[in-house]
Amino acid sequence: MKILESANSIAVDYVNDSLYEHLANFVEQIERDCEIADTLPESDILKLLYLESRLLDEKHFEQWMALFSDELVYWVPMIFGTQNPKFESSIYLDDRRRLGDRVGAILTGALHAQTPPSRTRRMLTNIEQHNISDDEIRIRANLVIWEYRKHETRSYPGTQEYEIVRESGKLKIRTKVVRLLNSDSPQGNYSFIL
Amino acid sequence: MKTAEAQSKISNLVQSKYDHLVTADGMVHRSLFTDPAIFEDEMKQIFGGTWVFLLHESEIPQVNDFKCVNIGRRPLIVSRSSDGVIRGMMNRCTHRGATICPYEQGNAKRFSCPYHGWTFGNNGDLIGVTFPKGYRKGFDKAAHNLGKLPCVDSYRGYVFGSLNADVEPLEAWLGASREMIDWSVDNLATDKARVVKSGSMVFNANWKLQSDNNGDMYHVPATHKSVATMTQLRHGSGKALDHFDGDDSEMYVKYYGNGHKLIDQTPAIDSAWDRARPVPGRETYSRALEERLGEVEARKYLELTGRAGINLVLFPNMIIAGAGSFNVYEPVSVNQTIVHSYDVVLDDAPDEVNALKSRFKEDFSGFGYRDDNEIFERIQHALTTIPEMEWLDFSKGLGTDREIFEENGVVKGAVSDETGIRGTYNFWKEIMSRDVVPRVVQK
Repeated sequence: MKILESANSIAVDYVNDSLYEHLANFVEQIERDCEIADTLPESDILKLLYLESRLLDEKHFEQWMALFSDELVYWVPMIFGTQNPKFESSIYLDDRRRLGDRVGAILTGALHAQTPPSRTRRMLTNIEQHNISDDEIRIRANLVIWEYRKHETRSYPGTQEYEIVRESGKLKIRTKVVRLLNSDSPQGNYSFIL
Repeated sequence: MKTAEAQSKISNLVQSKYDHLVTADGMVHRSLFTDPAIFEDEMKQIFGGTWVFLLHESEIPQVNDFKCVNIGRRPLIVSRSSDGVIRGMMNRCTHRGATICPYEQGNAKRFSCPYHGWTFGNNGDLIGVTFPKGYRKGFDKAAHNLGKLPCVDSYRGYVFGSLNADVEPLEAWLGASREMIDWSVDNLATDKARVVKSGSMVFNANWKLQSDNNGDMYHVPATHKSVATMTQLRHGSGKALDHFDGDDSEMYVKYYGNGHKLIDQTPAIDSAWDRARPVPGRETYSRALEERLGEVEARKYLELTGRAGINLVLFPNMIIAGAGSFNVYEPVSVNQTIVHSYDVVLDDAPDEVNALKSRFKEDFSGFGYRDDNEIFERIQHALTTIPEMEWLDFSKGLGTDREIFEENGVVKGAVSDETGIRGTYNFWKEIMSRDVVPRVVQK
């Protein structure tokens, strides 16, 4: 499906109390369990993480969104270290529909804050993997996003958390959490996808 | 020449200088946005000379609660002191000048300076110095209380402070704009609205560009084209800015006097909820509310989830957007500004309402502000670097039959006109020429 087409058929009913509960549990557990990773990251997981970063950096948005489950959550908290997505305002708290809106605004070509567009490179390091089951894997990694736009290069350090699930034999990202180190301080005018 | 005479010569000079920078035909000089000396003067004349928004009462609900804010650039502790009175105190030790409180907010009966340990009550009184035998007989402790704002007052929960002891009463300062503050607070239909921070941003441009923009509907179709186009393509018509015809609309702008201005979109918005682009949970939570409360009661709540279609810009540093939402401008320097955003949690409303409110707050920063901020920075860049082009044109609506002069200096204009902004600049010129002496009180 093209992003700048009607969003009417996108599944939205999964955004409910149990989704918020699931998300809160996920971030709480990954924080708690991260003392010792189960394994070094496996190669098929690394491939997925690197592909996700590259497709986003290269703005291949449709292929990028296809790496996620239909019922995705994309969360960039505003309050540092928070585990309460439901009642707090975030930088992003997107379901598939709103993430599509975010990308769609860029794709119109009329987003002044992306004219000229940002060039980005994301670095994932210190990747820790936790195997919940054969079909559910959790990842915690350190993150730096580098952005170049209009003669300036900026960096956005933080951590990134993923919940990866196996759907019909394929690995999909169900949840992605981007925690910026300075999420609760006044934010600059970035308008690329964090 | 005597000092007083010299002073008056200087102040006449200043007055004529500012008269020249804001003209009767709606032109404003670039130096208002680029000149560090004018910025310094604004910190005295405006942020030291009149009422400045500090915080909402619900941010410090308990006795001994405090929050650190800025008045202009001056760091201030606003405390609900042990006696229940809200006070504003400079975050500066009276001994050797360190800021004493490093926290954004909290609950404290006392503040101790980290340098030598001088301790102050949360009403600002100096209650103890370390090794006191070293201070001479007659050392006046009261003269070393924290510097307090001479005036703090609140209106409908919004707390303002002033460094000008002779400032007019708050209600008189807010004047006719109170009709929209009242409307906005009454609209929430609860006294259980608790203000929470919903984000903040920084941009490299002068603070007045933000204030102008909040009183400007003219920019919306061009500046926010990306969002309007995306919304139309993905969510169909009848959303967002579809109702905007700048030359033929029931919507209007208003200048209230004292720099305050309004955009009122409510005459063209039948339902803010129906107009809103969908946020996560829109379908599930509205359905749950309707099933539990019935359609009519549910609809009352849903209309409060977004913003209410007003921009009430209170000079100098806040905009009230309705449904509990407001932003506060913090000038950092002539070319840098921080904006803090706030919204409310309605403690007596169903959970679904507050979950939806959280999602709506993210929409404005995620989809609206970034294009505005990009434009502010482009303006700042061009104004700073091209001295040969001196003027900005704010004349839209001037000399047309679209401006209606109401009582008490209130002017109503067409929604896409610069009527309100022009009013603010005329007031700017006036307040910048006033004779004011900002001061703190200690005893």
